[in-house]
Amino acid sequence: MQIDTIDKSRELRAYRFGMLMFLVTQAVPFTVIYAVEYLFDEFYISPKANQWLGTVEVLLVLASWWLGRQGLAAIRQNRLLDLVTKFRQSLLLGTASLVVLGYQWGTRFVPPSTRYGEVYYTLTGVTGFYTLVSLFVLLAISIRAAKVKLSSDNYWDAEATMYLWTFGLLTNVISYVLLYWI
Amino acid sequence: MAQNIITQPDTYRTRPMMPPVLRGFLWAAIGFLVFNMATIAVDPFRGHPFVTEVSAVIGWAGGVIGWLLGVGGWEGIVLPLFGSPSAWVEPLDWRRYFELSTDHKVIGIQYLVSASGTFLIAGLIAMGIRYELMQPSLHFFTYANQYLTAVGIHGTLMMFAVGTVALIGGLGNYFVPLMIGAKSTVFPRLSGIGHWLVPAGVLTVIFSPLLGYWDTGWRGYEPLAMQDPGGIVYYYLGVAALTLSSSFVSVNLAATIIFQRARGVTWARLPLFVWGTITVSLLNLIWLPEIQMTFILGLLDKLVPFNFFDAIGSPLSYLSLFWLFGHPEVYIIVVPAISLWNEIIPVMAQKSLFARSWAVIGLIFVMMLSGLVWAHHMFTNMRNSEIFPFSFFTEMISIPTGFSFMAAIGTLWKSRMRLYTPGLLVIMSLFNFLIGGLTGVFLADPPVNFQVHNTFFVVAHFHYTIIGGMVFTWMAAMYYWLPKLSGRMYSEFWGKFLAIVIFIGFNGAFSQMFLLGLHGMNRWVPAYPPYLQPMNYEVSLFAFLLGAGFVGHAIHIAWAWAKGPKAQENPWNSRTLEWMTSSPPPRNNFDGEVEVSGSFYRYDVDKLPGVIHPTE
Repeated sequence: MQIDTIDKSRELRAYRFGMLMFLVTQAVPFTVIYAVEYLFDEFYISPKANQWLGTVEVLLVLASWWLGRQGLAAIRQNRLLDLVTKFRQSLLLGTASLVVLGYQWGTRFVPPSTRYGEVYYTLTGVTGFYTLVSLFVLLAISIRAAKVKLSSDNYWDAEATMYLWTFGLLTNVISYVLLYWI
Repeated sequence: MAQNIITQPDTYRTRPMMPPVLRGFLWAAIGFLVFNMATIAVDPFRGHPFVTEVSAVIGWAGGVIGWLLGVGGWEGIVLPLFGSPSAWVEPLDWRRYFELSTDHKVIGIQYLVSASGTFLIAGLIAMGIRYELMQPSLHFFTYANQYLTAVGIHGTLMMFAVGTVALIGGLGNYFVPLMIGAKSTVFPRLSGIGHWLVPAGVLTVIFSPLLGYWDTGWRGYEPLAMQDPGGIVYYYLGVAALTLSSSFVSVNLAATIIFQRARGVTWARLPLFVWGTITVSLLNLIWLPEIQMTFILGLLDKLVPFNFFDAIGSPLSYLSLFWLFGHPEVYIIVVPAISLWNEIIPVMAQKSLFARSWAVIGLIFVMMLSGLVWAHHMFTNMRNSEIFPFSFFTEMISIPTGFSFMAAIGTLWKSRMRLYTPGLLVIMSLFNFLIGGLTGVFLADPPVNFQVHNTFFVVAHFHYTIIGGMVFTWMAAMYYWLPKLSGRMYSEFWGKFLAIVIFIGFNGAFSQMFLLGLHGMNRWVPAYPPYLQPMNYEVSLFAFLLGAGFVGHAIHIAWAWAKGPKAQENPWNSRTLEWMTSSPPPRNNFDGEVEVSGSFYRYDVDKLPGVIHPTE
C-alpha cells in the first residue's frame, strides 16, 4: 500500500514536471516573436492601436483565469459542482476575450500593412491560438470532471488545465504590455 | 500533495471499426475538403481556383486533424479527454502497429518503420539527384526547379523524418524505458499520437510539388521562399508536423528518464544512450519550437503577405533564426549516435568503458555549446568582428565531441574487440565521423570557409557527419538490438558484407565530393562546367553502390526479423537492463521490480548489475 502511494506520488510529480516542461518549451515561440517585435518596432506603439479594447481583452482573460483558479480551489475541497461551474464561467469570459480580439481584427484598427501591424496581428494571432486551445481544454475538462467524478483525491486534470490557462494568461499579459505599453 | 490518479478503465471494442489507418486517410480527406471549402466560402476574392494557398493551409490543418483522429486519436484521446466511454482497446496482434498505441515498444517500432521507409524514399530521390549530376547539363529533370525541389525534399525528409526521428523516436521510445528498468513511459499517448504525425509530415513534404516547385532546399531560405510557388507552404507545414512529433517524444522521454528509473538507476549509473536521449530531448525542446515559430513567420510572409524576411524586412534575420535551430539540429541527430558508440563498444570488446564520466560530460557540453556555433553558416554575410566568437566556439565544440572518441578509443585500447556486424559498423562510424569532424574544424576557419562556402566540400562534410556518424551507427544499433526486438538473429556474413559495401560506397562517393568542392563544384546547381564531369560520374557510381547497400541492409534486417534463426537471450553478453527480460519483451517489460546495484559498464566483475524481484 505504501509503495503504491509512493508510485502514485511519483507519477503525479512526473505529470507536473512534464506539463511544466512542455509549457516552458512553448515560451520559445513567443520569445521568437518578441525578438522580431523588438527588431522591427523597438518601443514603437501605433497611435491607431485601441488601448481600451486591448485592456478589456486582457482583463477578461485575467478574470477568466481567476475563476479557473477558484474552480481548482473548489475541487481541492471536494466541491465538484463548483469546479464545473467556475470552469464554465471561466470559459465564457475567455471566449468573450476572443470575441473582443476578433472585433479588433475585424475592424482593422491597426492596418496590417504597417510594420507595427505585422507584429500586432502575428502576436495577437499566436496568443489567440493558445487562448483557444486553453479554452477547448477548459471545456473538455469541465465535461470530464462531471463524468469521471473528480475529487479532492483526484484532480490532476483540473490542475493541468490551470497550468495551461496560467500560461495563456501570461502570454496575453506580456503581449498586451509589449503591444500597448512598451 | 498526494492524489490518486484515476486512469481510464480497460474498455473493449463493442462494435466493428474500420481499420484505423484506412479510416485516417478517409477522415483526412474529409477534413481537408471541409476546411478547404469553408475557407473558399469566406474568401472575399471570388474567382480563385478550388484550392488556393490559404485554403491549402487551412485544409491541411483539417486533414491532419482528421488523420490523427482516424488512426485512433478519437477513441484514444478525444473521448477520454471528455470523460466519455471509449470503445477502444489496443489489439495485441499485428494490428497494433497500424493504429495509435500506448505501448512504448510498439511506438518505437512504428517510428523505426516510418523512419526507415522515409530513408529509402529520400534515398531514392538522392539517386535521382546523382543520376542527374552524371552529366553536366539537364538530362533527367526537365527544369532546374524540379532538381532543386528534389534536393529540398531529400534534405527535408532526411533531416526531419529520419535523422531527428530514428534514434530518439525509434530506438529511444523502444529502449530507453527498458534500459532504466521502467515498465512504461510517463505520457504514452503523447508519443503514440506523435508517431502518426510522421507519416502526415512526410506525405505533406513529398506531395508539396503539387502546389508548385520550391527551390530553397531544406533551409527554406528567404527571401527566395517568398517568391516560390505554393509548394514551399507544404514544406513549412510538413516540417511543423515532423518537429511537433519529435517535441512530443522529447517531453515523454525526458519525464520518463527523470521519474521512472528503477531503484538504483542513479544518474551516475544511467546508460550512455539514455544520457544521449535526455540531452537531445532538451535540445529538441528548446530548438524545435523556435523553428516552428520561424516557419510560421515565413508562412505569414508568403500568405498575407507580410514583410518580415524580404528586402523591406530582414532576410538575415531569417538566416539567423534558421541556423539558431539548424546547427543544434545537427547535434540533435548526432549526439544519440555518439552515445551509442559507447553503448556498443564495451559490449563488443567485453571491456569496461573507459572514462565514462568524460563521455557523459562530453554529451552535455556538446548540447550546451551547440547553441553557440550557428553563425558559422553565415560567415560570408558577417563582419570580421562578429565571426570570431562563432569560429572560436565551433572549434571548441570539437573538444567535448572528442571526449566520446576518447572513451571509445580508450575502451578499444588493448581490448579483444569482437568484430561482429554492430562492432564493425561502429568502428566504421568512428572513422567516418572523424573525417566529418576534422573537416568541420576546417570550415570553422573563416578563410577556408569563404573559399569553400556553398560548394560540394560542405555537402561532403555534413554527409560525413550525418550518414557517416548517425546512419552507420543506426545500422549498428539495429543489428545490435535485433535479437531483442525480434528474438531472432541476422546472418553475420550478410551483415558484414553489406557493412563493407556501404563503407566503400559511402567513402567512394563523399570523399571525392571534398575534391569536387575544392575544384569549384557548387551546390544547388543541376548543371556545371564539363571539366567536373568525370569525378561527378564516379561519385554517382559510388552513390548507387551506397544506395544498393542500404536497400540490402533493409532487406536483410527485414528477413532476419521475420525468418532469422532464434537468438540467445543475451547473445552479446551485455550488462544493461534491456537484456534481463525476454526477447521481445512482454507488455510490462519486466516480470517484477528491477533493482540495480552496480555499473552497467564494468566487465571486470562477474556479478550482474541488476536483479528482478518477482512481483508478489
